[in-house]
Amino acid sequence: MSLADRLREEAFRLYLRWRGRPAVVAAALDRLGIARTPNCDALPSDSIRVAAVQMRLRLVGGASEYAEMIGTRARDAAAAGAQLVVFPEDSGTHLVGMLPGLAGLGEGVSLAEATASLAGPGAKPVDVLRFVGPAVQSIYETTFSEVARRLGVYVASGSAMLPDAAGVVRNVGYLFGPDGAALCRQVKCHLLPLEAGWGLRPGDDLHVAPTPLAAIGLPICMDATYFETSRILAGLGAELILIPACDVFEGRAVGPGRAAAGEPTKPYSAWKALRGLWPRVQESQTFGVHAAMVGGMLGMTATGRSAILAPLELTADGSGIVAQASSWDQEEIVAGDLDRRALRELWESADVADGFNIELYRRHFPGAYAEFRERHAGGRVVPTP
Amino acid sequence: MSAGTVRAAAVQLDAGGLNGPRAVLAATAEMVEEAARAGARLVIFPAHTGTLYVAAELGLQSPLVAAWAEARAEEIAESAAEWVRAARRLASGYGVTLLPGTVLWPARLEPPGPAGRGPDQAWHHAAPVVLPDGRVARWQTQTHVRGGERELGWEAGVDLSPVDTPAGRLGVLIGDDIWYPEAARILALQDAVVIACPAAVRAPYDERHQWRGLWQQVQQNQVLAMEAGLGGEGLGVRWQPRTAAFGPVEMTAGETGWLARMESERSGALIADLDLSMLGEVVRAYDIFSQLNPALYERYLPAVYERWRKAAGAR
Repeated sequence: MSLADRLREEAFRLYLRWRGRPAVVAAALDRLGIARTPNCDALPSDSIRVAAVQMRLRLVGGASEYAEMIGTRARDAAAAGAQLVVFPEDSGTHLVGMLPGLAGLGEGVSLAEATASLAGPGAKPVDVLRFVGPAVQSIYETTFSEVARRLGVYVASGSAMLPDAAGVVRNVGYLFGPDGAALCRQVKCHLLPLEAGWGLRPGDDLHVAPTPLAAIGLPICMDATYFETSRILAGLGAELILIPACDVFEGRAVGPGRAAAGEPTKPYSAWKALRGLWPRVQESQTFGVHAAMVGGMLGMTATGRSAILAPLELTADGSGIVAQASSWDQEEIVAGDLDRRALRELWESADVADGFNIELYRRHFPGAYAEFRERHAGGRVVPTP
Repeated sequence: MSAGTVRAAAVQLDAGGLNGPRAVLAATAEMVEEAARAGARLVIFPAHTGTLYVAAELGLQSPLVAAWAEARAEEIAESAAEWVRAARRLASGYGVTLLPGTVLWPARLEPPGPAGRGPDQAWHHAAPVVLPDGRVARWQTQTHVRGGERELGWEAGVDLSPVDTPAGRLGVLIGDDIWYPEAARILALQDAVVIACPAAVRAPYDERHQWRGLWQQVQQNQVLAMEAGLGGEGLGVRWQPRTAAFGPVEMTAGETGWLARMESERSGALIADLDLSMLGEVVRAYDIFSQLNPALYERYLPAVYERWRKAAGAR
């Protein structure tokens, strides 16, 4: 890269940072007139009210528009009494719209194609995310922190793809407290192959934030497909697991079963959704909040039904669902009440730990994972008889 | 059927009709014959068929109500061994891989097949896997036992391994194993591709319990599975069967994750074609295990279970 190019690049970075400075976010939230709520004043409490924001994936042009988008939805959730507001995965992806030229590329253009168009044929999506990351991070953290503080509620930001100090881009979510402090930062530990293909790297740790509201774990999307996530979090003391999600619908047939039957891929499948947070809540006897991103941009279409979840035994109809979005493709706020005392009583009467076979687990964990990976280094093979 | 397909049968039995050792053996033989005639190479029976046999033959009370006396361990073992011998004759006679169900076996006595090592406690709830040549290739013990069963003297096994059979690399889950995801994961990490579940679930058995049970284990491990259920009244318990065959949603009609299921609670054989070639295509298209995170698991497993156990009831 020539010196002139480097200077131009640095100047543009500074420009993005300036456009996303905290004062811009603050001014946008001031215009919304967000008032503090008393929702968290009585904590700790045995009964808590949580909300999932089901929102649309779209490009936004800058910090002001972004803060207004997040602030409006959080305000609506808090107005419904929510003490915790959970946003979906990729809630920070909207901000890539700050890159000039992106919005003009058309809806069907994928992130990889957009990257090549904006940054040249050799560029990868992670290069774009790395470039715009510092500006995105500033806007993202400021917005959610300020929204939490102004409303006086807990806010789980969902996630954004952000670079760390070494330039490694990861999918990261935060939990902010009613005073705006960041209580927890969680990196997605199980990526989609799509994300890995973009150049993202997974995290290797899980955290539980002990708060007066509840002990909260906040893994991200695909993390919920792996039982290990909720087992570890519950073992660390989590009573509430949040899953911000952005389930991308692939229009083409993936499974040979569907292709053979001639069935088109459905944009939303309740059965596929059943592979996520619902079974994790049942297995590990926690509460759960699933917040879904919907809509499309950059060639991706996301669908999902946000939900508030509990063990089957703690829901009146035995479904494990306290509240659920009525749609899988529209914006909604889903709120529900969780009874922490009932959960503790369930643990006392029928703790799943009663059946743990720790000697069996010692024999196989964690070694079996590495051994499997070594045996299938070239890809998992299913032998036929 | 493609070359990589195994036709399998999950047998559903009404325990009310199994009121004597001959009735158990007759029902087993009838169902194996029916399954074999339908082309099944793998036949799975519900749990406690062996327990029903032993209890009836020796005139014992139900061990699900009150524990069997250890003093009778030798004669219980001999009766259970006879039940296994009958299964071996059926397997070799019809040329099938057969799981004839489960039986309570005295933990301190050597079982009729390879079992690995286990602690010395009263009873193991176990299932034999019998090959078409009549050999017992595996003696799998239930590995997740909870308070009520422990009070009856049941002890969890500590060995959980799949076995190679002509029907594929087969793992067995018994009882509560299906609600502990660790069990199916351990089997899948050892390359099990088919999971057999001899089941006996007390009524009411809500379908949502099955969603969080074997259905779930199939989805998160990308394996095929069959659950063979016990119904009716037997051993002092009312059972409800939900006999079914499962596969990853991508390879099932309607993307439901069900390959087949019994529509009634009557005795019968559910036949399903387990297409291992298609399973391989599903895995190639999206391999869930490619994103496992050993670095994360090394940090917390298995220590987090001990931490949880210590805090149990007061997390």
